Amino acid sequence: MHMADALLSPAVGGVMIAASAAAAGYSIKKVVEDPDFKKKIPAMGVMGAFVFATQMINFTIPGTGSSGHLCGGLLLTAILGPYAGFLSMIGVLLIQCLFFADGGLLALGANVWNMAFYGCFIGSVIWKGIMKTGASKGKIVLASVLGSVLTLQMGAFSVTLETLLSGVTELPFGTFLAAMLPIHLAIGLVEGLITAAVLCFVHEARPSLLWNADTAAKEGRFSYRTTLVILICAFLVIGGGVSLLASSYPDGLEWSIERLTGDTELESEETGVYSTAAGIQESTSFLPDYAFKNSDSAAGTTVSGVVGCLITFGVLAGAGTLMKMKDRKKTA
Amino acid sequence: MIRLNDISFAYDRSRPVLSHVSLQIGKGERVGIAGANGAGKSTLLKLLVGLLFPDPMGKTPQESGWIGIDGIQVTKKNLAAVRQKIGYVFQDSDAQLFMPTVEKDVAFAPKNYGLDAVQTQKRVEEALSLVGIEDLRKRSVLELSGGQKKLVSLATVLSMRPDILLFDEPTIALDPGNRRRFIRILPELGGTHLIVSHDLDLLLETCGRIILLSEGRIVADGDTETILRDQSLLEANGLELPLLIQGQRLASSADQRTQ
Amino acid sequence: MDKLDDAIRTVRELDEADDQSPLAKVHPLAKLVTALVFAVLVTSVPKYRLDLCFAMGVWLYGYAVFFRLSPGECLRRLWGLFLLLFFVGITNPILDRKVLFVMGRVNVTSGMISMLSLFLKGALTLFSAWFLAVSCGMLNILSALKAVHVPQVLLNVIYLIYRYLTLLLEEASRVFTAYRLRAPGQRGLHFSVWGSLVGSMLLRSMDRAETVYQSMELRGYQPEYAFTDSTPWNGTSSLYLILCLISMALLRFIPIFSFLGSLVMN
Repeated sequence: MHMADALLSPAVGGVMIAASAAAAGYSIKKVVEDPDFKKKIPAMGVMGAFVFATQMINFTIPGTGSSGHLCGGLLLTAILGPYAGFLSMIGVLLIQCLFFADGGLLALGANVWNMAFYGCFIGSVIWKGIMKTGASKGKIVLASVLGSVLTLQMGAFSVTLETLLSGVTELPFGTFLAAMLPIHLAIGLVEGLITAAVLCFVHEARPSLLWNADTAAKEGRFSYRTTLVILICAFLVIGGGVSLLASSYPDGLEWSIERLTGDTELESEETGVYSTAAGIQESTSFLPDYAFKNSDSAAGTTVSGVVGCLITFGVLAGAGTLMKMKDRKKTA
Repeated sequence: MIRLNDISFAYDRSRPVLSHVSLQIGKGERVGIAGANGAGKSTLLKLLVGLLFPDPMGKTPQESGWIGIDGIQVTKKNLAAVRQKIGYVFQDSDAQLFMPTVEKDVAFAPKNYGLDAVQTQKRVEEALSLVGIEDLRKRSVLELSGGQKKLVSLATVLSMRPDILLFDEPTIALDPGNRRRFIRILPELGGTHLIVSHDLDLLLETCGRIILLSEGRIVADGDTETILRDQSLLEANGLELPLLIQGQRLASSADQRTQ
Repeated sequence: MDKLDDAIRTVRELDEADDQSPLAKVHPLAKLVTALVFAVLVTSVPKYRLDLCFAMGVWLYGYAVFFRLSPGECLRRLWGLFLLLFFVGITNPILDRKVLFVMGRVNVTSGMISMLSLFLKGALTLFSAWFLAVSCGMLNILSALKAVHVPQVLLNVIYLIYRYLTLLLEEASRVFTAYRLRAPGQRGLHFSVWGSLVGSMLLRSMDRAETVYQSMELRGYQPEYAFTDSTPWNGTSSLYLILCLISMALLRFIPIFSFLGSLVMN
C-alpha cells in the first residue's frame, strides 16, 4: 500500500508530512516520558527490522495459490505500545523509501500516516480495548483481525483520498473507493490472521512481551475513549486541511488544458466506455463527483474532505460499539 | 589495574550469582577465571564493563562494593571512560559482529571515539595485522567461519587499543588449528588479560594465575600450576584436571609400571 | 526467498557505495534538500505537461552522469512502481479522451499524456531518492536529519533498524531455507507454521538485539551523541546546493526544451 511520490501533489504530500511529523513529535514526547525508555530502544530497533524482514516472507493462504504478509503496525503496537511502535514504523518506512524504493521522500508523510498512524494508534485502541480483562488466544485473534481490517480500510480510504486530491487520476472517487476497499478488506483479513498467529505464539512462549496484555494493566494513563475522540478530531482537521490546500493550490489541470487547447472546457465524448464507467460511478459514489474533478471552489473540496472524515468516523464508531459489546459480553 | 571490592550480584534476590567477591589484578597480568557453568564467570566480566552493576544486597548503594579500573570507579557516569580502556570479546561472535563487512566492523569503535578517517584506517590496519586477518578485510561478517568470526571479534576490540582485554570462552567455537592460532596471538596483544573459560588446558598454557569461582564465591586464587594440578579441588567444583596434566599422569604411571 | 535475497543484495550494495561516491565531499543535508526539492518540482508539474517531465528527466540524467551515479538495484524496483501507477493511471486514457494531436494514424489523447507523465514522474522521483541513498549512506542521512533537529530518539531507532536489518534478513533467509528444505514444492509458508516459525524468530531476534546492542555500547556507541556531523558544511556544499537548485528551477519553470523543439521544427 506504499504510495509513490508521483501519486501526490506537493500540497497533499506536504500536509501529510506535517501531520505525520506532529504525530511523531507527540510520540517521541510520550516515549521519552518513560524513565526507562533507553532500555526500550534496542527493542524498537529490532522489532522494526523484524517487521521489515518478515514482510518479505510470503505466507501461503490456505486454499488459494496466493500469499499474504504481516500487518506491521499492529504487530509493533502489540509489543511496543502505540508510541514506540509508531516510531519504529516510521524508521521502517523511511528505510523502505530511501533504500528499497518503496514510496518516496515526498510520499513519506502520507505513507507514515496511512500505514503507521492507523496501524499503531487505531490498532492500539482496539488492542487495548479487547485486552482490558487480560489476554487469551481468542482475544488476540479477534484484536489482530479486527485491528488489521479496520486500519487497512482506513489506510485504503486515505490513499484514495490523497490520490484524488492530488489530481493525478481520472478515476471517480466512488469507483476508486469501490475498488480499493474490498481488496483491502481481503488483505486485512489475511494480514490479521498472520499477525494473530505470531502474537499467539508470543503469548504462549513469553507473555510478558505483549503490550498491556496483563490483567494488571495500568488504568487511566491511556483512556481509550479520549484517544478515540482525539483521533477523530485529528481526522477532521487533517481531512479538512488537505482538502483546503489541495484546492487553493494553483490548479495545474485547468491551467495546462488552457495552454494546450486554448479552451478551459474539456468535452468528453459520450462513448460507450465512458458512459459505462460513469454509470458505475453514479451507482457507487458516496460523494458528488464534481468536487474532485473540477475543483474550483475551496468549499467543495473541504466539504468532501469532511464528509470523508465522517465516513471514517462511522467506521471508527462501529469499531467502538463492537468493542463495547465484546466487553459487555465478557462482564456479563 | 583492576580492583573488585566486596562485589555481589543477583538477577533474582533468592539466587545470588556473585557474593562478596574481592580481588585485585595487576597491570600486564594474564589471569584465567575458571568455574563450572553458572559459577558467575561471565557475570564478573559484565560487571567490569558496566553491562551490569553490582547489587547492594540490602545495603545502600554507598555501602555496597565497588569496582575500579585504573583508578576509575565503574559507575554509570564513568562508563565511556571505563569502556574505552576495556575490550570485551563476547562468547558468541554472532552477537558481537553487526556491520556488513569485516573492515567496517573493526572501524566501528575508532569512529565512535571520534577518530578521523585516516586515523581510523590506521587502527583498522593495525588490528587486522595483529590478528593476521588482513585477507578478510572486505568479507561480509555473515559469511565467515566460526574461527574467523572469533578472530574478527578480537580485531574489533583491538582497534580501540584497550589496556585490558576480557575473553569470554574464547576457544569454545574454535577447531584445534584456530585454537592454536589464538594461543599464539595472545602474548603479542599486550595489556592485561582476563580469560574466562572451562578449557583448562588453554588456561594452563596461557595464564600465570587462576581464580576459581564456585557458586558465586572465589574458592581458590593463585598460581596456575598449583590450582590446575589439584584434582580434588577441581572435582569438588565441577571441573576436571586439564587433559595435558591427565596425560602426563597417565604417562608417568605407565612409566612406573614399565620400570 | 527471492525477495529476501534481493533485499540482502541491496543493503550490501548500499554499504559498498557509501564512501566512494564522488559526492562524498558534499554535506548530506545539501543532498537531502536537493532530493526533496526535486521531488516537489517534479510532482508539481501539471499532468499534461509531458515536456516539463522530460525536462526534469534531463536534469536528473545530467546529475547522474556528472556524479557518475547508476540506477543499479533500483532499476529492478521500477516494475513494481509501474504496476501501482498503472492501476491508478489506466483510467486516464479511457476517461479523458480529448484528442490533442495525431501522430501518424494514432490519436494522442490528453489521457494518454497524463498517464505517461504519471509514469515519468514515478520513475524520476524513484531514481532521485535512490541517488540520495547511494550518495549518502544511512549514517550521513541520519546526520543530515540531525542537522535539521530531528530528535535523537528517532534517529537512534532508525539507525538500529538499519543495523539489525542485515542480521535479520540473513536470519530470515536461513530460517526460510531450512523450512523449504523440509517442505519441498511450497512457495510460501504453510499456515500451520505461521505462528511458531515466525514467532520463534521474533523471540530469538529480541534476545540477540540485546547482546548486539551491548556490543555496540562497549565499542563506544553513545545514543545521545551519535550521528554528530563529522564533515562540516563547506564551500563545495553551498556551491552544489545553489547550482542544483538553480538548474532545476530553470528547467522546471522555463520551457527551454519547447523553445528548442520549436526552433528545430521550424
